[in-house]
Order: sequence, then C-alpha cells, then structure tokens
Amino acid sequence: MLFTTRTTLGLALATLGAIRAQAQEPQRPQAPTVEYRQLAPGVLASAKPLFTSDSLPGYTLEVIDLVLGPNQNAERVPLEGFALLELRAGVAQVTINGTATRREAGAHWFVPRGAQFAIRNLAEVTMIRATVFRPR
Amino acid sequence: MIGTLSPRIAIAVLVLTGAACAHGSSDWPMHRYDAARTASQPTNSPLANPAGLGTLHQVWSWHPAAVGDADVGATGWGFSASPIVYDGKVFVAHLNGRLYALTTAGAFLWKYPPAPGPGLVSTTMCNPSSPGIASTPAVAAKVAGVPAVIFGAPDPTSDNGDGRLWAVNANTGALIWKSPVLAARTANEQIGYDSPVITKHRVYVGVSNHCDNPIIAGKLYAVELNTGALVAGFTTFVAAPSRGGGIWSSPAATPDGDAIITTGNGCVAYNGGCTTEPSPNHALSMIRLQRNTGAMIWKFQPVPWSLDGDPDWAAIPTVQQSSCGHLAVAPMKDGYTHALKLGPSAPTGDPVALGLSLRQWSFPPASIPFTSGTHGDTRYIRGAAVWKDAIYVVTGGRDVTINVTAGYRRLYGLNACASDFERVRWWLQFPGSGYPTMGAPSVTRGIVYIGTSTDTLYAIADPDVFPPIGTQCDFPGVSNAACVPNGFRLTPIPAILARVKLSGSIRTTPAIAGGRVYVTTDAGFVHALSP
Repeated sequence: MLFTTRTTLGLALATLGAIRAQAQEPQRPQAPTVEYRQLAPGVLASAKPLFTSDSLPGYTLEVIDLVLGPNQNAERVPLEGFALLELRAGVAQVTINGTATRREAGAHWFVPRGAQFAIRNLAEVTMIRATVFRPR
Repeated sequence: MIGTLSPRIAIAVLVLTGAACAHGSSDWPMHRYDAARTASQPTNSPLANPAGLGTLHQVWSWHPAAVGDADVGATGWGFSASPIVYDGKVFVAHLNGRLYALTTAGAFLWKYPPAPGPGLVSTTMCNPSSPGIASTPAVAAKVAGVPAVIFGAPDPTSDNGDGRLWAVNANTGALIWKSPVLAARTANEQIGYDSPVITKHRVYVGVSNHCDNPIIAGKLYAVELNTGALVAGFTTFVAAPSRGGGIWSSPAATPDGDAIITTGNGCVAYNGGCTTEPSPNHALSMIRLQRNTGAMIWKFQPVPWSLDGDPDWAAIPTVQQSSCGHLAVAPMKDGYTHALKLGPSAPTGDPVALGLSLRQWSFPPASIPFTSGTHGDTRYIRGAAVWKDAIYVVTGGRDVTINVTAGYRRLYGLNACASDFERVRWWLQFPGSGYPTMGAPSVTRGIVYIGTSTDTLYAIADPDVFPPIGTQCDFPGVSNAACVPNGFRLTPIPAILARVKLSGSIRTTPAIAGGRVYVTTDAGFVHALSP
C-alpha cells in the first residue's frame, strides 16, 4: 500500500492522539491550597500566613486573612502585637477598646498593641486581610 | 425551552428562527449548543448514564496534518474553536484559517477555503484570537435552500484580514455568501473569539480588537441569514464614542430573538487614553438589545469606570429557563458571576436603572455596583452550562476577594433560584495550573463534561443523578468540623465518573451529540469519545 508523506504524517499524528487518549480511574477532587483554622469563636484565619518576614527589627510581620461567616460575631480577636487591617469583602462592625465603627469593603483601620478587638459580621461573609506586627 | 414543547410546535419554532434545530435532536449545531448558549444536551444517550461512564474512551481523533495543513509552528495554538455537530457531520474551525467538515466517524469531507488557496488568516497576530478562525461556527438548517455553516473569520483578500461573516454549504463546503466587512483590520478590529448566534432569520456577531493595542469601540452587528447583508432597521450597537467595550465573548439570544451581550474593558487613562469617563460608556456590561431596532433595553454594569482594572466581561452569557423565570447568567473576569432576569422585550425608561433592578443575585454575594476592591484582568472567561435550576460555571468562590486566582481550578455548581446562603450546589477543585486551568463546561441530563489544561476531559455527576462521594464546606478551605459552626453550609462532593487524557490542553467546549462527546485541543486534535 502506497502512503504519501502527507498520509503518513496524518496517521502518525492520529496514532499519537489515540495513544494519549487514555481512560483513567476516577479520582477524588483536590483539596484547596489555602486552609483556614478557628482563630477564636466566630472568626477563622488562614492556617498558614500568606506572607511572613523577620526583616523588621524586633517584630515578625505576618499577613493573614480573617473570615467571618454568616451571622458570626467574634467578641475577642486575638492578634499579638499591632495590626493594619483591610476589609476586602463584606460589612462589619469593628470594636476597638469599646468604640464601635461600621466598616465597609475597602476600609482600612489600625489595631493598637494590646487593644480589645471585636468584629461582628453584618454581611453574608466578611473577609479581612490583616498585616500583623508581632513582637519577637 | 423548545424541548418542553410538542414536536409540532418545535418544528414551527425551527421554521420561524431559521436556526438548525438543536432541541429534540441529538445535534450540537452551534457554540454552546443553542442560541440561549445553555451548553446543555437534553437528548438521552449513554453519555447521560452514570453507570456506564467508567468506560469513556476515544473512538477516533483527527488532525489537520492528515490533509496537509499546518498547525503549531506555522500559525500555532491548535484549536481555539469548539466543534459543532449537525446531521452526521462535525464542523470545526482552526487557527490556521480553515473550516473543516468531518463525518461523525472521523472521515474528512471538505475544508474551506479549499486547497490550494490560502486560509482565512490575518496579518495581524498577537494572541490566539488573531490569526485564523478563533471562534466556533454555527449551522443554519437552510440558507439558499441548503444547510449552511456560518462563521466569522479574517478575509486575507480584504486589507490583509478584515473580519467578515461567511456562509458555506454544509454538504459541499461551497461558499454561499460573505457579509460586508464587519471588523476593519486597520482600525485594529477583529471578530476573534466571537461566535455568531443564529436566531429569527438573522445572525448576531460582535467585534473586539487585537490585544487592546489599541482598544476599539465594541460593536454588535445583525446580519440577514439568507444574504449576509446587514439587517435593515437594526442599528449596529456601538459601545463607546471612540474606544472601549469590545465584545470578546459571543452573543446569546433570548427566546424572542433579542441579543444578550457582554462587553470588555472601557477606555481609561492607562488603556485608551481617556482621563474622564466616555459618554456613553457601555463597557464592562451585560446588555439586552431589542431585535428589531437594536435599541438597548437594559444595561447591567457592576464595575464602574472608576474601578475598571480591565475585568473584561469575556464570558459568553447564558440564557437559562429556570423555575424562577428566564435568567441571563455570566461570570466576569474578576471572578463574580451575575444573574439577571430577562425583563421586558422593549425599552422602558432608563436602561441602567432597569438593569440594576433586574439583578437576581451575584456570586459571591456583593453590593452592586461595586464601590471598592480589585477588578482586574483575571481569567474567569468561560461561559456557564445550565441544566434545570443548576448552573455549572468556572467562577471565583466565596473566597474570591482574598484568593482571586483559586477559582481557576474550580468548577462550581450553583443553584439559580436559591437564596445566597444556598447558592453553592457543589464545587470541585481540579489538578493542574493554567490561566485559566479549566475549559468551558457542557452538560447532558446532569452529567457535566469539562476539559482542563492538564489535557484531561472529566465527566462529573451532579448529585441529583448520582450519589455524591462525601461533603465539604461551601467556603473552600474550611474543614467540615468548622463549617456549620461558622455559619457556612456543607455541600455534596459530586462523583467524578471518568477522566480521559487527550492530546493537549482543552480550553474549548465539549460538544455532546449522538452519544459521543467531541473535544478540540491546543495540540490541534479533534477527539471523539463514547462510553
């Protein structure tokens, strides 16, 4: 049987396609790459910092995410050191040393070292990115 | 929609629309199945039987090299277009500028343009939308007395690649008509990824640009199905006075023939040179256009000009007939998926106010229009498939604002008519990486087919048709133990019934027809699989 170059190339490619088309055993889905732990009642935090650095004298810098689910109220959010926070999504009532403020997405605020810090979720889900400066 | 009607009424609807009838047959005649872009094959077949999918395997594959045509190396990137199936034939368009017709047994029938002439390519190249035929064709049951394949492509004989619509005889590949130039190459316009939709004896197609360099004003044209001429009385939609609002997706059609479109980024300082918001600015919007006049009925613009970080609305909208009415659904590049009621079929007052009032929900939940946050050029660009009240979509999840790229690897099932709390039906995370990782889903009677950048086609069973394998929290990364105490919901984990390794990355839509699933890959192969 006479094969042209074109036919041979086509057959070779078709064979490659056939070889690569292989059924495999069904599998379980993959787990998410970012996981969350219970930081305190009512609030979850990244299980591992998203970023960490010891380059600041006397402090360890950590970036973590805080998540409050529907109807959650965290009366005491334990952040060691001081922290700069950004509300990434949702609406929250933020209370620092007894002073309550309503915060909406895009807001930034500061939590002094040793402050009593509470968050009440006023939205479906509230997510906060926290940059924490923790004394070493 | 039509699938719930009697055969007599369905035939009448076919005659009225001019489109090839998908409902009631096992064909897959246009991009994402039908004019509503449901990507949902209602006809029963072994592909809808969970018990038999463990044997899903390749029946045949085909590569353009079999007929002497170039793939990677000449113009590159393999297939950007998805296959369609009609009356025993598979039609697929290639970035090398050819439209191919195969039998459903994998035998080559014809190509357009025929050899030895050049393919339909442009001399402007910047990404896979540019060189040849990047979008999926559509079949009309009858044009000039014969079934016709309609597609958008550059015309190398017109200024080295002006964009037109083309109609060729589905049986022979002979040219029936070419439309006027719709996308002027020297103005940096292109049809690109935009797949034509056929409805009510017309064809809608949108225009975007080559790589935003520079951006142009997006347009939507309506073309007569029988002649390729512009539809008289339909004013071409133009998204902005000079630049912005390119239509990178594809139009969908409502049951009465109105166009639903999604538009791309606007003219801003860093892209287009606009230091103030253009007026009008129809960028970053989902829009309904009235079929007779092209008048805007409503516009939904969730990301305002001030926050335009290039989150093109690049995903094709899907018109879903759900138990809570007809919805228009699409994810946006920033990872949010929005659902709107279709609303009235004629303009009534302010289109912007009407668009906002028609919003049913956003996922994840959000106040619209946004007033803050990052809305950038992330890659949620695949349209949704729908089945009953379920929506299957690659979208950002509840964690999108803190982990915006995590959703590239996830497929969500959403409940169209539930509360925000119960929006997530299920979700799955897939292996691999990519930008994005996932292709676009298709579904047949609760079995979802989707390809990935790991060269793999998956078959997934909605828990309504096959038992789930467990539960997981609807907020990804939260353990089952912490889920409910933190106010979230446990959702079923659907079973993955099959995964089949194919020849290359799959960024297209699997076509489900006649008991087979047809898939195109970046490696330039068409694969046909069956259980």
